[in-house]
Amino acid sequence: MMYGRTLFRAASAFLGLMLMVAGSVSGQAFQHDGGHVEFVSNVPLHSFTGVSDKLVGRIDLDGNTVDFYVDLNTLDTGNGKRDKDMRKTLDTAKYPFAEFFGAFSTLPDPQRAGPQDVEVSGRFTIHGVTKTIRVPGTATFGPQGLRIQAAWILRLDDYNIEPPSLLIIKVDDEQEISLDILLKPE
Amino acid sequence: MTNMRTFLFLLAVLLTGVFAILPSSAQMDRQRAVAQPVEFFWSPSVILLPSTTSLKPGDLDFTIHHTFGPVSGGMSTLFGLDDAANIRFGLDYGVTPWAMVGVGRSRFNKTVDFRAKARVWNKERMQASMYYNMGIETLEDGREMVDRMSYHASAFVAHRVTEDLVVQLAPGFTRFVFAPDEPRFDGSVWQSLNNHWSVGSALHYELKENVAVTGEYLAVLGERTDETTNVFSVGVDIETGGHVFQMFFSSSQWITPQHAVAWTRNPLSDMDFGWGFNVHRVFGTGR
Repeated sequence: MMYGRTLFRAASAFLGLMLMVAGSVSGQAFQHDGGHVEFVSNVPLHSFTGVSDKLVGRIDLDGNTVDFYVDLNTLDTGNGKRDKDMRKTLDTAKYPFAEFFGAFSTLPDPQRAGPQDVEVSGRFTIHGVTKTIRVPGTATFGPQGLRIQAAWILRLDDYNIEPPSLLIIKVDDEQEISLDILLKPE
Repeated sequence: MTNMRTFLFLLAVLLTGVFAILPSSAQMDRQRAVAQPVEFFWSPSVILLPSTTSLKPGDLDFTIHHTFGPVSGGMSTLFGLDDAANIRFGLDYGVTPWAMVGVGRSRFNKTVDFRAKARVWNKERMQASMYYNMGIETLEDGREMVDRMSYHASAFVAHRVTEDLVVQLAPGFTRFVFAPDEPRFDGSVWQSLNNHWSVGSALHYELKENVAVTGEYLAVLGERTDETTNVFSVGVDIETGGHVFQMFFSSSQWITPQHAVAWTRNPLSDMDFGWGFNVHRVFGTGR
């Protein structure tokens, strides 16, 4: 009987603790599905930009997870013919997403005002190829949520993507990628 | 013992609840987004006929259309290059994702034309657009303003048959306000109609990433102006990134659709085509 009461008290304390933990972390995750991502492609004497406002992101500060993806079919280069070529180049029918899943090297401080330099490292996948990358960026906490801005260079060759050609001139192997998303508290 | 069972049951229920509200650190499920279907044609015109392809909002398409004389002239006209060429300079502008407007000026009859196109259906395999063109001939020949007007209204339906093949059908109506009968040398009268019904068909087949072959056939339905003929054109599209070059042979030198319908007089049986080219240069002013 004594054993049962002791166990009951211990379990009740454990449950209370779990509930407190759950309550305290409920505001530490952020998510949004309307972020902006773009790439800039260069060819001699010409460049073009592809944009999508369908970037989906979720950041969980407690679990320290950073999760982003975009449906590549939503990228718009401003030219229907080029969009079609891009989808073919990236084989979006087979690999529809570009995605990143990783973690902050150092967690940003939600109490700090203004942009904070951050770095995430994790697995980036596009065209069916996954590489571990590090991406620098800024995190800004505000009343509306967590704004993330980041940019990096993607080399097409690293992901077995054949650079498309404009007649005989090939698109530069290096693509400038940037993203901007305001993640809202869950 | 009963207390213990009750306790274990409550514990299980509570733990389930707790883990349900704890934030997950796993990856999100990847969900496909709704993407705009890609344009079927590489430019807003197939050859002489418009296509269902529309400009993006804010995009400006500068076009040069050029048609030379018939190649039957041989070396004496350098296969039509020495003949009077019809040239149209045009500007088209994407107003919304589904509407574009344009203006152009052709050399023949000094025709200024205003046009508008609205897409009413846009799916992965099927697109449909409405097209309207109003021409004003500015040739100094003493006509009243109203008599200089011509119109062409058309509906386009395009179907992507395969990844590389697109076909288009375009029934249309053409009206020239002034269409006088003219006497022939033999004393008979050359009868001219104000109104024509027509149907345009077109295809676009992508041979490779930047090269496509195109074809058009514009047929008049029912009554037509004397001695006018249907129009057949075949061409090649070359896409270079910012430009689309269209080189073609056509049985008509007219560039605006209403003139091609009502003024072409070149029987296909003669197989006497002239060559021409279109250049499209799109300037992205939208962003």
